[in-house]
Amino acid sequence: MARRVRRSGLTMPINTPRFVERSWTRNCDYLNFDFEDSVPQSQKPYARTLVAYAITQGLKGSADITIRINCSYPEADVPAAALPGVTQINFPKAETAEQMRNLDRLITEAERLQGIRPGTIRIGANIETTLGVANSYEIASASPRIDTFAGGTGYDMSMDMGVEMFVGFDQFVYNRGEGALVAKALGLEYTGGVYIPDTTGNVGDREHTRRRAEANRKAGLRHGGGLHPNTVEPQNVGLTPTPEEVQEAQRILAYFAQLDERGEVEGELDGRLVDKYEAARAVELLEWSALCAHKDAHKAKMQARTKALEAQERTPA
Amino acid sequence: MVDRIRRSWLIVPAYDDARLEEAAHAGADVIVLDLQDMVHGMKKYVARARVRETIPRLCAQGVEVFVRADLELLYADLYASVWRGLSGVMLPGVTSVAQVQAADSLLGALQAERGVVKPPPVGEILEADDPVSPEQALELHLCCDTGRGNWDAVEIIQASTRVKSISLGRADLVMDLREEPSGDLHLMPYLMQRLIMIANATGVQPIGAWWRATSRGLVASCDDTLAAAITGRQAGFKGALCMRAHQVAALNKGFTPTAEEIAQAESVLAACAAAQVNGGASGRQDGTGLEASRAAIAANLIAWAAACKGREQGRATVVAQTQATTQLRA
Repeated sequence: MARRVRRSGLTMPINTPRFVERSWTRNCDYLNFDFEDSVPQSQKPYARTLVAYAITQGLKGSADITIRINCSYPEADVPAAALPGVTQINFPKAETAEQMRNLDRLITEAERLQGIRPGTIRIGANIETTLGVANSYEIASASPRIDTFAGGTGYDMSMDMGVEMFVGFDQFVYNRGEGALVAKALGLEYTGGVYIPDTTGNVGDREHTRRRAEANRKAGLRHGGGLHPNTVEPQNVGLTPTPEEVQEAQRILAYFAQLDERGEVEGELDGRLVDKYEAARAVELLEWSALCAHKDAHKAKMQARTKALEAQERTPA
Repeated sequence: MVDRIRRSWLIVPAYDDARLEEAAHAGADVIVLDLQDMVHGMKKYVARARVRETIPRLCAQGVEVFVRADLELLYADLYASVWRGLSGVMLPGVTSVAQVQAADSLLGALQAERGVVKPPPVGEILEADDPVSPEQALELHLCCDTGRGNWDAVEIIQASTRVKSISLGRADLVMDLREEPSGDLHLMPYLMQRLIMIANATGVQPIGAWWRATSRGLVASCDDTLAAAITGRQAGFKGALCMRAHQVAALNKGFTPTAEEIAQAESVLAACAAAQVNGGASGRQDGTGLEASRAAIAANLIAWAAACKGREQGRATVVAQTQATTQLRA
């Protein structure tokens, strides 16, 4: 499975036309069209009819399309969500391995009926309750469609624990650690983040988003997302290696090659230790940088093409 | 019963004579002869060839000697290492029960074949006619430096009774854990506390220090090493690994109770003893109540301090003997 670039993403209610219609203009790496918490109960059946349109709109900007279904009605949601063009179905409040196995079966059947190549649609298991934390290993290992994982933090987790949010210290050291350890033990891509004190709870704060993205990038973490369009550019920029970092990585690799030839395992470059671990980090950074550049180019091309088409439609020859 | 005192474990590449000489006089409780990460492929053969003669030279300076082996090259590394004077083998990158069992049987075979037993505590003498006991089985120290190794740690530790201590090894490098804005390494506080709990639950010694982002792969300045050792001891570690001779003194200091701590512990014990004499179950000190558990904690600290002193005396005894022998030969 090729590594995905998901620095930025927007979760939005699929039943809000103005959001979905303009979703391709946001320049985010992925779009998470929501059937769940942002869609009221009365609108859920209607929401299920909107997936094809959402896919079309989202692909105009070359974003990865994901759908967040309801944990309570996967049997109704999956057939509606698993359409060609969807790369992942996100399952909120994942609590048991059986939920994952059931979801896997539903997706398999939907792929069969839709003529989607088996295995295409991945599963995002979101841990949002304490039971989910306790069952993390069983959940994360329950289906081969799960290739990313992270610990449980956030609004629903806080609700489950009965705690206030944005208190200025990390309430989720254990949850985060457990999820990360499970991801690493199972060889899944770890999509967690570092802790940054936040006492405002403002989802649209560009500055805070940028600081968190940079801290994540420095910690070697690569994944982002949010609810507000203000989170997109700060994460696109903050999670992408800078040209200086790319140059530095190339220098480190060249220097390490020299060391290796001489039979040395470590050396110093500009006061900085270089060994096989630094070399491995440099290789990863260069790979990641190339993937980001590719994604950015792809998004730009698709957005330009869509804009040109829209312009043509507005001014018939 | 207090385990062997091993406050500082200095890892040195087995082929590097200069560093070995420096290490021998650094005052470490354990020296780990490295055949793994610090030894380039080209130098493995030289490194392995050196181990047998290096072990007694180091023992003569009052240290315990371990070897850090490469799991992928286990046979060759152990074949080169199981000689008299060796106390145990450090295994980094452990991820399965099978690996530990393989090491266990290989050690057993080599010990039997060569008549090698684990040395007694430093400064003591193993009499030739002392019966061979399970205490003399060479030890295994497991480095849980991967996700899998940490997740399955309980099972892996219990795969062999030779396992007497564990650590995170260089998990920050192997698991690619980097600096967070808090100044900690991402996930390390969680991993360290988890390891300490598991070590206590399985009856093995947790080795490590509260390394933060100012350290890298067990290397840090003296000041940062001391801080990591002090916090590490408070967290439950019993000693730590390091990779530079200059870190040894800081580790020994951080993992040894201070005079103030000893004095405080003694007064707690005295207060509790006095209370018992007066028929009470608990004592009072500075106006605060003391339970029996406080007395037990104080007693532990005093025992630990006494054992540290014993360790230094053992070192002094051995070094004096070595010097005397050298002079005789000169």
